Amino acid sequence: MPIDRSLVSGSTTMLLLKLLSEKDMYGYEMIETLRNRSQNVFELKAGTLYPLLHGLEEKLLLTVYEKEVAGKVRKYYRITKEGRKYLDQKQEEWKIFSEAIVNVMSLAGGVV
Amino acid sequence: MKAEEYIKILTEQIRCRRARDSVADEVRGHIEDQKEEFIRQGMAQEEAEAAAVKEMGDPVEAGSALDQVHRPQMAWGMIGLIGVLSLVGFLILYLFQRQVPEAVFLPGAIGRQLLWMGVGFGVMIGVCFFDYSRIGMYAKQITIGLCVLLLLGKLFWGRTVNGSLGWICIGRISISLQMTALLFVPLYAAVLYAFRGEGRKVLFKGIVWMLPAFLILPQGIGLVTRMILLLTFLLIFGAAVYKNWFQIPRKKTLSAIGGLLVLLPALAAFLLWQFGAEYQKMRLLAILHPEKYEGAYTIRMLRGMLRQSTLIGRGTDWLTSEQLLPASGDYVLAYIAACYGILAAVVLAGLLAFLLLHFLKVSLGQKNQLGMLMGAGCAAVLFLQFLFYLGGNLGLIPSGVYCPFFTGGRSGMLVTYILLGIMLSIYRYQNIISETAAVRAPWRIRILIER
Repeated sequence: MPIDRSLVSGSTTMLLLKLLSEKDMYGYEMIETLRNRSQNVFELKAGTLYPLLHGLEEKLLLTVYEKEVAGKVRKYYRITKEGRKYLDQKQEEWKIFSEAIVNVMSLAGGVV
Repeated sequence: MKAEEYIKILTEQIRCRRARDSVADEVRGHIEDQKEEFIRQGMAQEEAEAAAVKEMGDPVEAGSALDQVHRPQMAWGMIGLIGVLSLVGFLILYLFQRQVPEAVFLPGAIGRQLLWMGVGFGVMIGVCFFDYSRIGMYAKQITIGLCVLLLLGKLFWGRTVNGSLGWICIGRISISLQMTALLFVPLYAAVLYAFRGEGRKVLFKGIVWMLPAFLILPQGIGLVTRMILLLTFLLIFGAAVYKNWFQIPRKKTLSAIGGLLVLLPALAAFLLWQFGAEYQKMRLLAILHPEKYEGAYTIRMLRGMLRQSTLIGRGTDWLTSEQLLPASGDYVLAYIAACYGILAAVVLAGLLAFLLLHFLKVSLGQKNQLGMLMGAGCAAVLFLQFLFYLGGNLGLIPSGVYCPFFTGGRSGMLVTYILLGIMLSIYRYQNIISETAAVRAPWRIRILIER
């Protein structure tokens, strides 16, 4: 089922940081991983991904380095200490938010 | 749409040309990965490329979003502060000069000084717009070139001005070698950048590349300048070792450098005592016992003047021809305290310290390692100079050091503006010049594009 993009866009940063908190990745790898883990629900476009990554790098939440793998030079992103702090904070917010949604929706008529 | 067409449209949205190459490389890699995946799934070459490009999304939207991130930034606040300090410094020097015409606060005619300050400010802005990573590419060549040029200048046009050797005078323009030597600081940082990953050899090379700055200095004088330069070079080298640029044992090397930093003043004092000229020995004694030695006249007078200063000043009664300090132009901060009050001196010194320390902090936080070390080196040398100046003006050490904004003289002013410009340039291009772009030679980029 295609879902409303605005539902995802606010939390894309959190999702990307979460992926990078597990291991360093390059852009294409992030899109693939996100797609697989969300069972094709999150189809992040590269055109959205790179501005986001570069913005996070500017805010010093990520750092970039180049690595040659199988003859290809790729830009790998790594989460910084500040990035991890930011991720913790976003996860906390998300927990409160999602619990609130669940509470409201289930009280309203048992949808969830 | 073809991949290259997509990349062209996307990068054209990014106004800063310098940022385009690294974005293009990354996007190109992404499309290729996607294309290979589609081919694996059974698509033909062209079909796979078109599908991969379609997956990317709208190039204009992506390009515009990237343009927002990769924009040059001007440190307007810092430029404003530099402007204010320049004008306040000039005004004070002008007032002091008018009060005591026979002293040298502002060498040369007022109009010309003001004109040169404008030129210097313009040079700073020009350097700020200049992409500093180009200095990084040709650091060795520039260092050697500058050194040879200054040595030739010294040989053919070397002069003695105001009793101190070490000026190059061509026509009406005179260049102070002591001040010009500071230009080697950012160059040294850039040279070290080229030695990354070279291992132990760097211990030798790192010392050799310190030498050009000392080579051009005039013999026998400029001891404080030499100390400042050596301290800065050691700090730069230490920072590079700390950042593990050379892959040498960090703890051992850093403790050796730390040891040198502590021993150096002691060694310098010892050498002076053993081999220095008589007046240098007198100076050394004068620092330790200013009340006993005849030569400590300046320090005694300076301390007396500061002791009688009040929080808010009482006007310029200290500035008279009868009781003028020798080399009064080197004690502007002390005179500010005496004439306008301690508060005024503290505020101005505080603003200058804030400016330099802020630049140091911004530089150390740079992602680009070349920018980090060049900027930190510039900030460190200016700050060390300021500390020595402060020490001199407080009557703790014999002064004679230049102070940005508060010492007259064109060479010092121009060199200061150039160093400030380099730091502004590093701030300006922080989200544009990627680490890899900084080491790549421009001709190689061109060849890649032409292919």
